[in-house]
Amino acid sequence: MSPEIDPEDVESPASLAALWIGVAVILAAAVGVAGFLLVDLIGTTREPFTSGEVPRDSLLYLRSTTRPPEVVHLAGSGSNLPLTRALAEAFQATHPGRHVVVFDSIGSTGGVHAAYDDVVDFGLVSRPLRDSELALDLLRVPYARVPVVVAVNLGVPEDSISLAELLDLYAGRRSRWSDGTPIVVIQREPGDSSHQAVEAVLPEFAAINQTAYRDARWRVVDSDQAMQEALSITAGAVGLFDLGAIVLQRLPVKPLRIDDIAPSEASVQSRRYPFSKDLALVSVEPPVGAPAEFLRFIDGEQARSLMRASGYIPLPEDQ
Amino acid sequence: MSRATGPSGHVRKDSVDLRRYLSARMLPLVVLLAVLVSLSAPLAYFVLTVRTLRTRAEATAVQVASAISREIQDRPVLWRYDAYKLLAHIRAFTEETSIARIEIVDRSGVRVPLDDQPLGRRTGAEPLMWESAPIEINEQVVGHAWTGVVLDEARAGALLLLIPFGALGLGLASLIYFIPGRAMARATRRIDQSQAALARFNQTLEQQVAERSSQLSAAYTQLQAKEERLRELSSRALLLQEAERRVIARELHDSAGQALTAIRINLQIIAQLAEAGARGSEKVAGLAARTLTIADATLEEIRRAVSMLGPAILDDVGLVAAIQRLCDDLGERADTIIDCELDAPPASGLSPALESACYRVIQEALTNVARHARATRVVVRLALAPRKIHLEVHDNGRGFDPSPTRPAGSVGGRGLVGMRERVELLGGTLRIDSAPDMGTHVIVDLPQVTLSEDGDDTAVVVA
Ligand SMILES: Nc1ncnc2c1ncn2[C@@H]1O[C@H](COP(=O)(O)OP(=O)(O)OP(=O)(O)O)[C@@H](O)[C@H]1O
Ligand SMILES: [Mg+2]
Repeated sequence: MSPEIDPEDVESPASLAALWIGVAVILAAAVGVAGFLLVDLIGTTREPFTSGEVPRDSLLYLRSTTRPPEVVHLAGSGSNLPLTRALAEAFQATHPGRHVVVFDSIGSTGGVHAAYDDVVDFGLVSRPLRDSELALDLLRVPYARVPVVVAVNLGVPEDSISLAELLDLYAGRRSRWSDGTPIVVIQREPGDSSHQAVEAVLPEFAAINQTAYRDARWRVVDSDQAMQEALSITAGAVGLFDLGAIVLQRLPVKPLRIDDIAPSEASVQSRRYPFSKDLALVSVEPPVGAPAEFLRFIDGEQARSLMRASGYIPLPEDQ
Repeated sequence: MSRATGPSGHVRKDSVDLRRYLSARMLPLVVLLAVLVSLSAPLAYFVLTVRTLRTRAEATAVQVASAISREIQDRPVLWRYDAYKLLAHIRAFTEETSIARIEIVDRSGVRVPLDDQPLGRRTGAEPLMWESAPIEINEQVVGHAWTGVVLDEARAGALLLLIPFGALGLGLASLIYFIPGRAMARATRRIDQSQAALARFNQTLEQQVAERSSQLSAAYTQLQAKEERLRELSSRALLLQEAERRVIARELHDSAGQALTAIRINLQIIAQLAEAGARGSEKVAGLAARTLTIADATLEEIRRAVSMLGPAILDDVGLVAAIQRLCDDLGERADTIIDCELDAPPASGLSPALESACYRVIQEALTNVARHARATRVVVRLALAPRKIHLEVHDNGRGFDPSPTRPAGSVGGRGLVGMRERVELLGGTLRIDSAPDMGTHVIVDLPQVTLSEDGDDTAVVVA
């Protein structure tokens, strides 16, 4: 009934095997081509670099700059910068032939490492050292304490805030100021010294902040510069800031009282005002020469009165 | 189709083979289809996603490289102490992407340790796809920014796509595999059924044909037998008739003829006596003479009746001489040259029926020649073979159209028809070849089935 099919062919598996082989070859070819293309597309998945000592001649990773002996190099936390620059100016005014260079913020962490690498004479640190940093066995010289304030845009009607209200603000439980302006919380990046200062007193604050970071609830800025600009120009803005930076730079922002207690040397020292942080210098070894002179200067009476005038509390505390 | 007429088992095996054949050959193709359909879309998705990721990673790398380049130029040494912040900042803009690591690498290929803090989600053992952009300072490449991308987004998407497309591939493949198979099975079943029906039909047909043809041959044999019998009967009837005629003729000739002859002789004597005797007996002489005339007339009539009843001449001189006499008669009567070729012994040994048939046929043929042909030359032929008699009468006269389409008897008389009937009754054939101005050729063949060998007939003839 089907003469065109050779019965031999029906019985013999040879042509069938050939067909299977053909299909297998096509599949293998397809898989091969796809695999080749994928490998070509993805490229290597091994790390395309090695870890270890960066070569001395690297143009990226410079070990040091030329530091003339009469110049003091300082770099570190942005919180230290306003006061340190003011002190540097005063130092240069009273010490002819001496120069102080205060670099833009590289953060407390950067300050520690720069000091450790001996790239600068002093690292500027605005938070307690971490365990890993303590292990570096650096010399740490605290020179000022600064109240951390809840700063608001000048348009905000409130003058005082309670701790509970502060928590409500950052948790988003309260959304408007008393005049109806929407509350805009400006957060610093995780690990910021002001946040750490508040968290040290209010453990709930840490959890609220973490949640806010995770939910991207608030705008996060990662420098004092960005924070002061945001607070100055954003209606209803609120954020943590240094009182000293506000006073010294005459910023158009308003520090709130906490539970009706204004930040002052007395209230901070008596711990009635809860939030503050210590500014310190770190160096690998006890300085000599110009850096040593600078260290002596900031412990002097002129520097301490300058600090007090600018809203800072000079350290070590008066006995 | 020769196989279709074979045993049905063979057909069934064949059809099953066809289905298996197709299924076996469809299977690899169907597998190929399933695999290709299942894999192509997820693969394409994977490739496109990977390309997108790669583009993003490259864009990020370029961004990082230019930012780092700027930083290095601003702060050649210190940049690296807060580069982690810069990278975190960039990461904030590439949030929700698959970029897992951003690394700055010196031109020597060594990673620059920027900070201990993790950048983005660092997934450790996960293999990453790396993309780079050169960091240039004053048109000199000092290092590279590398971005590492996790592929799990692409992989998860592709795996997710594999489910519907795998189902699609399998579904399509099984449709393509099973639908023709089922259709084939149905068609095969139907073909098998019709073949079985055909085989059954063939068988019964053969039976029917065999039955019919045996019936037909039986009927034919019967018919033949009947025809044979009929011919036999008619021959016998002819024979008997002929014999009877001859008997009657002989009786008439021998009894009435002899008697009348005697009466005539007596009447002659009476007349002679009356003339010689008394004058008064003139009346007797006249009467005798008148009676003589009546006797002559009666005798002539009887002779004519006798000759009509049967060719008594056959009994007297035999067939050959009788035919010779017919020829002679014609020759005398007309200006015709007659060639008489009679190839037979004087005593032909034929049955009376055959003899008189031969005689009558030649007689009629010659009569026709005399009456119609105006011939100058006539050939008469008689040949006696052991089982066959051949007769021919050939003239060169004006001929005629012997076409049988002419209505019988419409032109001529009964002569030709009678001739044919006479011959065919004896199982012979008669042929007339003639055309206008072409002469006429009468050919007769008669089988010499000698009924005379039959005892009964001999008896009849002798009687
Ligand atoms: N030998 C012949 N030559 C020419 N014409 C012939 C010859 N034999 C027969 N025919 C034609 O065939 C016709 C039929 O002949 P057929 O013997 O049957 O009838 P017939 O001789 O006319 O009458 P009858 O019945 O007395 O024999 C004749 O009329 C004649 O025309
Ligand atoms: Mg006639």
